[in-house]
Amino acid sequence: MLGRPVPVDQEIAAATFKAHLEELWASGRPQRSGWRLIPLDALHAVVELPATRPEHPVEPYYLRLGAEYYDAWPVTAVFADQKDWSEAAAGSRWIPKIVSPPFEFALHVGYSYPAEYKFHQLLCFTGTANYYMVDHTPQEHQVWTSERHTVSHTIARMAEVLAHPYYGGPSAA
Amino acid sequence: MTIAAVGDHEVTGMSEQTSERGDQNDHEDKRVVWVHNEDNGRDYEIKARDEMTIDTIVGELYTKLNTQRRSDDRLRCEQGGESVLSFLTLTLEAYLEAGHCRDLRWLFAGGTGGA
Repeated sequence: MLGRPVPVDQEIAAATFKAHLEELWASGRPQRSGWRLIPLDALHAVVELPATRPEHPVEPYYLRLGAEYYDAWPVTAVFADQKDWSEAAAGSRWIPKIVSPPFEFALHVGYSYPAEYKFHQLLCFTGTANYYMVDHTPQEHQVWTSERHTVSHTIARMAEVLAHPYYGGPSAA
Repeated sequence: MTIAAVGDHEVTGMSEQTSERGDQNDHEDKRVVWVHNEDNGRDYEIKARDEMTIDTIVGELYTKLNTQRRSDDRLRCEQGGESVLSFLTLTLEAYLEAGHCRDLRWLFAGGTGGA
């Protein structure tokens, strides 16, 4: 059984989170892919990701990241409401429909977490802290390790499923 | 939080060919394959000759990544997402002549569990 995430030293978490975001943005990949970083505070940021599908204009989504457990665990991640960066509600325009993702992934809305965790969405893959808050049994090489993974992993995987052919439009218009 | 838009790792000029000048006996043109490791946000540069197979180039990538190949690893073209691993037997020249990933920017992602 994998260990459940527990908060780490918040100063170290904030510094590591900032350094890894800076490294990713310095690579040029976010700029080429149309990602936009919106810092909230030392431990939180939102990344605007463009979603694309044929015959539709680009639709933005907002991935809210939290570094409370970082980088002993991944960042927490939810899709956020554009108006106040709160966790987007089920059926919201700000929740994407994802169809046949290219890796093991599911987006659960209205998920029942253990009481100590205050989330409703579960971006269910090994690149979010949320995934480790509930019982899962990934293969050993898929488990997050700070030696191999940074917040880049989390952002890139969500950016990938927001592109054709995996993106199926918003949950609600 | 301040995020630099440009840094030491920024890459440009993906499709340019470079020449080996360090060895006077080796004047073969080499292309540069740029690989962005999505797992950690870092970039890698692989110099490759046209006659090298994609498999050989991928092997060099794994050496740089210092990791072993796994069946659920993915390597795809940044433009359009086409899998590079579908063309392991092609030479780089044939890969480009067939119209695949002309700017040679690839994205690496290790296995991801979930759902």
